[in-house]
Amino acid sequence: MKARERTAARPVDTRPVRLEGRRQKWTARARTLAWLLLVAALAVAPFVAGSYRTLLLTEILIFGLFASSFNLLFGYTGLLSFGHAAYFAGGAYASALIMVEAELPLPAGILAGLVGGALLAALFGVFCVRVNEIYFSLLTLAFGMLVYTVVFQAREVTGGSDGFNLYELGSVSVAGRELLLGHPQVFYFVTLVTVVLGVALLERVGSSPFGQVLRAIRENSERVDFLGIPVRRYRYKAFVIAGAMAGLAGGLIAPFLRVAHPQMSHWTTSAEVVLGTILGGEALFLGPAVGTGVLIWLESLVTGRTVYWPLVMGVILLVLVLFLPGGILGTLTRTYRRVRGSGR
Amino acid sequence: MRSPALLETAGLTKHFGELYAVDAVDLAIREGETTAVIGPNGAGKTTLFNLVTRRMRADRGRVRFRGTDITTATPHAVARMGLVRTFQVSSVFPGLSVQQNLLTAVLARTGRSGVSTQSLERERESLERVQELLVRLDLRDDANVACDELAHGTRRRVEVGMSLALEPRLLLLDEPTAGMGTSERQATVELLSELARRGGTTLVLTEHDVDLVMNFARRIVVMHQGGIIADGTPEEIVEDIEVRRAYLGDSR
Repeated sequence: MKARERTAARPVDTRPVRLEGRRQKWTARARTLAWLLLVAALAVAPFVAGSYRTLLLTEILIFGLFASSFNLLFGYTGLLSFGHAAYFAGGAYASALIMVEAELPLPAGILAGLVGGALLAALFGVFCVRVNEIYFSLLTLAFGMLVYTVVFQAREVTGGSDGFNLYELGSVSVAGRELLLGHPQVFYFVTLVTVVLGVALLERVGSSPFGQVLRAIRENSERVDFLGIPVRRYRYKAFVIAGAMAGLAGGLIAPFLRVAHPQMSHWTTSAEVVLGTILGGEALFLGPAVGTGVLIWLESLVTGRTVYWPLVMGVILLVLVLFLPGGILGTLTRTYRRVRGSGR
Repeated sequence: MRSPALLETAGLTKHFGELYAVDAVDLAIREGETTAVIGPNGAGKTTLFNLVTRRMRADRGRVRFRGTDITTATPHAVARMGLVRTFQVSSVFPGLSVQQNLLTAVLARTGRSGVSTQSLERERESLERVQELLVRLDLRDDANVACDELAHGTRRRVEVGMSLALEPRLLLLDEPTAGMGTSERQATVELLSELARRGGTTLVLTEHDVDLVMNFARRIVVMHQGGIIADGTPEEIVEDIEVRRAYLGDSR
């Protein structure tokens, strides 16, 4: 290593900067512990929740993965996709087709969802990552509606507006007992394992050097380019990973609902994760999943009592924009920091 | 024999409508030859930088860097070859901490940023390099401060730090001391002088402060209305009457 020369005139502070001080290590441990607690709570939940709540929780988990995949593009890379449902639906149809036409078991269907979402994203991504900001949003929206139109019209393959139905999920034998995969609690655990793996992958990728470059691209893509990093290629990779994870969520939703439906690719489905992400807060990793979960939970509460769900949604949006900048998690974190800060 | 040119432009031209911002510029920069490009506002200094680093497309002419034609290369390819620049308005990552800014540049240099599930904290070598840069640029106290909360001059140091992290062969600095206070300016000049002395990186800068470049640069190129009107050692330039008229004016 070269010896460091230093200008004599100015006294320079050479104490090493602590990147991994004790507090950071503690924070890292606390984070790991929080993750484990969350997963443990989710694993216990179906035993105390009853069938209806277990089904609701399954849906929340699936959409949580979907929203987290969306946030790799939005929160990390700064790309607002308005057509992320295309890859979700791509995954749903891929898994339904594989399970019905090829008669392969559930794990193959789920995996097919991932592959389907990835392939679709690999195709459309070529065009989408070339453009910026509003043009990116519009192009992703256009491709999303293209997928919607295709699955709606291609009746022979997709079942059109009826959707593509699947009925039998089969069973697995665990410790000598035959478990029906279609059983709410069994399918819940299939979902939990898949979602935890998918979300963990997204979290790891986001915390890696690759994720660091994505954040830099969000902040100032021109600077990244002039550092010698091919921005477009990084955006493309993020796009495909996000598509693959949306597809994985889709690979769960079709067997869960026993149908792959055009509505899954509609722009309103894309808007649901956009809204959920803003509700939860895009700056925190779990924000989008929490926000989307809250949205699904509220919807289940409201639709049981009134048909005016869109109205309630509008009010939520209004409150959010006016009073909770940074979303639920963002506001909570800010409040926590303020309380802790004033305590000192 | 003079050493071969690191950077070479031939007939480089860029016009915006009727205005020729850069007009048939032939310029060769040799290794280790600290050069200042001076001239009044609108003389074409920044446009020249933009053309060379491929931020803008040239209308005519060629650019060669280390013997390779880079006239149609992409900006990231040019940077990857070792031709790095800073911007007139500091270009940093505003929402990221100083550390993260520097780390991004270090990762760009080492190329260790492919898709992986490896935690950033495991990148020990890159993090050590960040530490070195923090010390060298006197940015330790601001290591965890977001760049958009920094004073103007400090932000400029961050950008210089990012450029140094890339270990460039040729570094183009667009008014590196603009907006800095006197002491900060002095510190930056010392840092750049050290860099020039150490070798490995050749510096070309644009600057408004003529006194500063007279002491610092070995060669001065004077631009006016898109063309080069004088080129020589500081002593030669001071004597150049045309320059006095065009740039130094009556303030001397």
